[in-house]
Amino acid sequence: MYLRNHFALGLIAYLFFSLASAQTTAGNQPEGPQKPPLPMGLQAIEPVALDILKAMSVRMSNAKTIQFDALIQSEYPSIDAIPIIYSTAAKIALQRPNKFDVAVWGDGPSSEVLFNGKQLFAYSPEKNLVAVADAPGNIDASAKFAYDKWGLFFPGDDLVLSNPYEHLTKGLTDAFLVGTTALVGGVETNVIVMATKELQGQVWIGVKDHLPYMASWIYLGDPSHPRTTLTYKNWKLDSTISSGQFEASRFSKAIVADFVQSDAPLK
Amino acid sequence: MKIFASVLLGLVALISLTATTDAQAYWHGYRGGWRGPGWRGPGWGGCYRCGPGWVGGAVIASSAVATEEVVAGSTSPQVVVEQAAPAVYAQQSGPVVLAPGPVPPSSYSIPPIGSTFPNLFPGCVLEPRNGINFYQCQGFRMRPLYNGNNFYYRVVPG
Repeated sequence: MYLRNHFALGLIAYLFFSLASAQTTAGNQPEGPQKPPLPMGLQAIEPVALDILKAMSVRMSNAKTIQFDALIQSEYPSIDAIPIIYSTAAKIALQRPNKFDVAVWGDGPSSEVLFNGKQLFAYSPEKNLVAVADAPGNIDASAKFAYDKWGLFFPGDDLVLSNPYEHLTKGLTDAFLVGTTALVGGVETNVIVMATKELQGQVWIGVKDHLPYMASWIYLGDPSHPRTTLTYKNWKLDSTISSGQFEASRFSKAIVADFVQSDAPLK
Repeated sequence: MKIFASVLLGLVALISLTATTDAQAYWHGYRGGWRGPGWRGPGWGGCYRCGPGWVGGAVIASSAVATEEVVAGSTSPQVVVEQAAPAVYAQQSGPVVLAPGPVPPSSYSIPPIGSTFPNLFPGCVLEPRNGINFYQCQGFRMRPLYNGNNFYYRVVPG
């Protein structure tokens, strides 16, 4: 009887945890709101939206140098679940095929990420620390390498790849043109709505210059569905960037730390 | 035997409950903006209600460049919650701290090996060994590391 009771308890525990596990796993899957079917004749992905995205991508990938500023406003809930917006600013400079420099400051520690074509540097001016590692020899490969290995990424890195269109349309389920507005970025912009299973949002792309001026994304995989809005300004394409921008000598007096994977052994 | 089986079943279920999925890890992708939340999280001090997105203010009072750097912070480090910086969700990357408020700076217990802090403890001194930079603190060592768009300090053996 005693053993049978324990077996029953074990079974109940198993069922309880299995149920909880199933719910948790389901909770981990991005879940957008249930979408009603589109009326006849409407396409989930409109070619005109893709054309606008492609024009932006071509403009960006054809540029030999790119400089722009970004304001990033990201939501994160407080302990009482009230969304708080945190703001950071970034200054991005890149030179194809193999150099970029990104300085970030604002609500949080300042930092700088530099790829000089051979090595990747992450620098903290407040802590006076710099992490250094060899990296693959072009922007796409080094950005992916840095993210995969150390969880490092930077604002706007989705725009500066060699083929932003391919990246932006991967997993796309919906894309359509809302219309135009003259109230974003100081120019007339096309407003494109985009969605995947993981996120939904909009991007504002200049009608004439094809540059992105704002993007706003809701991350469906997070239970709180946080929104991040990025505002881009001060675009400079194909202008000369000082070679000093990509020199790491300015970090020479910093204390060297190590990049590490999150599951690295202790030592 | 049945007791053992029941415990085993419970453990299996518990493991399946706590394991993260590839889908969960992947959805953040590797891009700020389209594939990932903007730029990493917040982090200036004083907000005790802001929740786990918040990282408290700096402890280090000096960013002096020296081969032997003494950290002369006036406050003690925050309580550690984070075990290892997550590799993906940069918005919450780095040590996640719920700051309990000001704590007397003069005394603190030795933190467990493997615990991580966003800042150094007061009085830690840079002591490189075998080409690796460590900080010798009061009774323990810390190593500066970078992951998830943040530097942090991990308590290490020795």
